[in-house]
Amino acid sequence: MRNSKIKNFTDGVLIVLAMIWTLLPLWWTFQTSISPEVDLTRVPPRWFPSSINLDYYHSIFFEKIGTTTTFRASLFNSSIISITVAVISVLLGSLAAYAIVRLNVLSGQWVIFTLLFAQMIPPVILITSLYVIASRVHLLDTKFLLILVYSALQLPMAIWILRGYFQTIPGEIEDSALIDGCSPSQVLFKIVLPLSGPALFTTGIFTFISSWGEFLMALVFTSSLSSKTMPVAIAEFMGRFTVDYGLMCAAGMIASVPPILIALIFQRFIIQGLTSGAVKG
Amino acid sequence: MSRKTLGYLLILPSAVIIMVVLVYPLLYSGYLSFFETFVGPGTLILTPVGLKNYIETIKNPQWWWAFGRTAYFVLYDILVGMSLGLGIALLLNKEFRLRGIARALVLFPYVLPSIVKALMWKWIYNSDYGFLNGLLFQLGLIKDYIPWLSSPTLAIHMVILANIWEGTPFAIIMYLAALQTIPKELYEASEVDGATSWQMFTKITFPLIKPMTFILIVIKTVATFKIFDLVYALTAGGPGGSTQVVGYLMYSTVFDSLQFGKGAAMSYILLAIILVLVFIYSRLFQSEEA
Repeated sequence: MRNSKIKNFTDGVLIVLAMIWTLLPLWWTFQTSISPEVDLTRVPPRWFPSSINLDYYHSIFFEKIGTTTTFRASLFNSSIISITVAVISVLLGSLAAYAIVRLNVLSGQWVIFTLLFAQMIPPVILITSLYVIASRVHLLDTKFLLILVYSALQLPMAIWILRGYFQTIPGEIEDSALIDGCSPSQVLFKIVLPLSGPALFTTGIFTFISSWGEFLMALVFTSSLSSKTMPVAIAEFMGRFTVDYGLMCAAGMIASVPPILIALIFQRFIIQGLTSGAVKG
Repeated sequence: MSRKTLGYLLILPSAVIIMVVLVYPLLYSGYLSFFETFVGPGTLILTPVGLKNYIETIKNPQWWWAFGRTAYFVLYDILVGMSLGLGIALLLNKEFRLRGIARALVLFPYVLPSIVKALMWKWIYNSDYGFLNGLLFQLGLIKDYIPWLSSPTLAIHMVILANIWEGTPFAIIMYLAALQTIPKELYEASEVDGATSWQMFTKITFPLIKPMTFILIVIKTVATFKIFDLVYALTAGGPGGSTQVVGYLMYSTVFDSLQFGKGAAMSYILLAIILVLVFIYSRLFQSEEA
């Protein structure tokens, strides 16, 4: 009995340590973003702000200086791009996955291999030729280009997750619907997709998070306010000679709100997506 | 309309996008890799050079240093990151209050935008006002503040530390999933037989999560070979090229030195390496499914 109490206690301590390791960088960033400016240059630093200061957030949302205007525009671009990519991936991905699983089109081993392989291609491999091609067709610095590129990067994963899910739906339901006179497309839209809510949602969440945070492609392909995304804007913040850490941390916190909310509310779906074979380490 | 026709129709949009944005550029990279490129005003002038780009890359010690450095990242990611992931997964697999919220919180380093993670670590490592110096100073472990990212040996390990933090959640989730498939009866039976918890771990848990460990090793290797964002934002490959990894070297070859052909050749060499890794992975995966 005593033994198990000691064990529970050590487990508890270890769990707390694991949580501290995971969350400390985030806490440090958050507390910087709400600290008064004098706190940030204290040696040694403060662990908790001496008073709450929301000036950084205020200036990010309302002030009209170069960096904050850029950041606001980039948030807008990132939202449009990531939402569009999520919708496209779920829509096209489920059509393709259905064709592979149920209509036996391109269902061979090599397709499975290709889907896995496509997920593992480092984007940096594609970037040279994509840049040359995009500049030839005058698509550089457009939201359209990023939407297209992200969709292509996300589709293999989307098809992979949805394919796995469709395989678990019993074929009998569809067979009886076909016998009752439904066409294959009716079966897809009236039976399979409504049954696949969780998988569609998982796919949407994943593609959204990946596109929201993607940096390399956006860095190379965007240059003006019309297409620059949030990660690029933040990288520019960081590249300045005099970095305003308070402002930067506030920007980082704002950029983290969507993924953090998703992790808290839809934890189950993320875990499901990861374990059903999304191979992004 | 026949089932086959419908099938091809449904797959067409995805296939077109993947062809145009993944397959075609991949092939075009192969083409570019045989040319020397000059970037003129608004044009790209190509001069065929045969295998020169490949030979120069293979002979370039910088490339192999970058490659070795990336492998060093992988090593840490696998040895330290995965052990940490397994340890935390074992903890989170136990019954305790707030387990749900703890499992959501460990996802944070996975879901945050990579550039925000880089920002956090850059501020943590800041030599004048950063948290790491402050913490170690307050704990009495250091007397003077250390410039974490300015000395070559320190810098690479600092980037590795941030990379491990970023990569641990993935290992945690995968290991948790594997742990949940182990039947409780196995532990109960071995407890009756008087096994210690260490014996339970080595004789039951570890053998049963071995397949997942293999899969993680391959995924981690491929993922770490992609590393770019963290290096770009924390050190830009410096100081003195000490954090130059493959991804960053390729990026700066193309966009700083404007050697498109050489960048393409590098990407093909890297691709070959990744292909071998994926082949291993798909083999493992198939033996899993069987």
